[in-house]
Amino acid sequence: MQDEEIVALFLERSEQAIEELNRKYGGQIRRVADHVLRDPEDAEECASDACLQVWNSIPPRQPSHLGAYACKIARNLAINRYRSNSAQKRNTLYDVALDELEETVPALSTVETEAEARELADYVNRFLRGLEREDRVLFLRRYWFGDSLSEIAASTGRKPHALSVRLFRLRQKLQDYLKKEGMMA
Amino acid sequence: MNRKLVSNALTGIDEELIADALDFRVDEGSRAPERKKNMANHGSEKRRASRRLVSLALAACLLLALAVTAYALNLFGLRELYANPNRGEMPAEAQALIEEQEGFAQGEGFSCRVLESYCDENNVILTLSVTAEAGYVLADSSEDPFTELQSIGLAGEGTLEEYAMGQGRKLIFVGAALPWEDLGLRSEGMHTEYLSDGELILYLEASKSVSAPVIETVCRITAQIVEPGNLDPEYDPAAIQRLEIPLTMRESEGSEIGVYLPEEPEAIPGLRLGELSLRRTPLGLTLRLTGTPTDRAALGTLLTLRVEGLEFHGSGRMGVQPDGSFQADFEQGQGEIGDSLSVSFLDWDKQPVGTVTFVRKK
Repeated sequence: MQDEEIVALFLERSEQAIEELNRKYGGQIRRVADHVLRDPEDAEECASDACLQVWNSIPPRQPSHLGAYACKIARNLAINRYRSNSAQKRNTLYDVALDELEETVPALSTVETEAEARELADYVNRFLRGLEREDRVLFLRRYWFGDSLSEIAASTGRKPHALSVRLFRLRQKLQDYLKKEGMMA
Repeated sequence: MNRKLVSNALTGIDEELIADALDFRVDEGSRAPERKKNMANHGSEKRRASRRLVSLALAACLLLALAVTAYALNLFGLRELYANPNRGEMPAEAQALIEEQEGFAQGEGFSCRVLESYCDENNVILTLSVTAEAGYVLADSSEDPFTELQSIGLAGEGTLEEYAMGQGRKLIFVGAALPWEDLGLRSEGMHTEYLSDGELILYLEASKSVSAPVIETVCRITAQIVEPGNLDPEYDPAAIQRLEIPLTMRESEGSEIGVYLPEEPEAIPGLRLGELSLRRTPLGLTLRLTGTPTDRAALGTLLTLRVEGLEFHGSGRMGVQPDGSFQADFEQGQGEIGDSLSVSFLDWDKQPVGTVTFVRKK
């Protein structure tokens, strides 16, 4: 079923919308949450809550990319849950991805971090749009979806080490881009 | 510094780019069989595959033995599956209300039986047993052919598709859901316990708003058969089997504990606070807070609330209702209740926006 048809079911308040969303994107939604939390039960709850948020937000919203919209909600919920659990060990794929990226981006001031995050997101968006599709997808799978190198390797047929090198180069490229744009000294 | 900044910046990545990456992942579904066919022509891969087949056959025997033991010990009863480290055991009062069910459905390649149910004014919980016929590898509907066996608790390496293909079996994905509109569901979650590659237990827990002494409803079962090595990347709703199992549940009634009023109704930006009511169900405390939005933008910065001395482990939500009013509902709470409640409102970073004392109405 096409995204537009599922969104139409949401707009009609048809409960089938949830089933279809779950069927088409349920695995991805749960996987995104699980990569942040590394706890299948918590991830399941996040996925369920994400479906509910999609249900509550359509209407009025009519997302043009339903899967991305739902995954984004699930990721935010998972991060919030993760942050709220201070006892959680820093060993999730989300942590690993952040560890890698953290050194790439500039150390900005600690005030107005929301504004800085938005500005940084703008730069990252522009950087990603300038990449070849394969590199862009690799970057997002690693740092947004939190996929492990072995998962990406398994689905692309490339070796994890080769992917690791490529990601390293992408991070360097991002760093250069941010410097060029004046985000970093 | 930068950890939170990086995380927040990633959150701001355009949905269009994410959708593109998501499509790319889906595209891989159509490319994968070809890649695997190529791999199958490679001698060493063939040998590795046959070794894996032997180990998987042994693993299947072990899983079968474990499943029998698990049944004998009732490790996968509703009561057992409800428990988790956060909320602990199911309260004894609720355990006493678990009903055995007999609903059954037979589909192509599988059968499904409702085992047990629990129902109160806010929650429905069900367990179902799903068994695949010989010739099928069974997984729940939230998985896909590329799910790694180990990620769902089955022994062995590789994906479901590789496993099924190695055994000459088809994949069947089965899911269950309650009717959202009929029961006025606010949320529903499914958890799966795999007993073997052909049998699983589905645990459904839902928060509902429709209440009646006896709930007559159905459990909806969906199933999709997938031929390994011949994956159709197109999603085809017509290929999905849809079955319904009739379900009758006696609902346990809750009791009111009290109504509390805010000392400072305007203390939280964007919201005029109304009544807070507490009820008790066999699963714990249920909180409902009402109010009137005064500034939607300010209200949008609120994520959740905390009540000092109480912990809620069930479904929780807070926001503007279709009629424009504000409402927060939290379920399955545990803790001590006094004549006053200290309620903190938190933003999306879980930082307190304000704390309000509610006093029990005389």
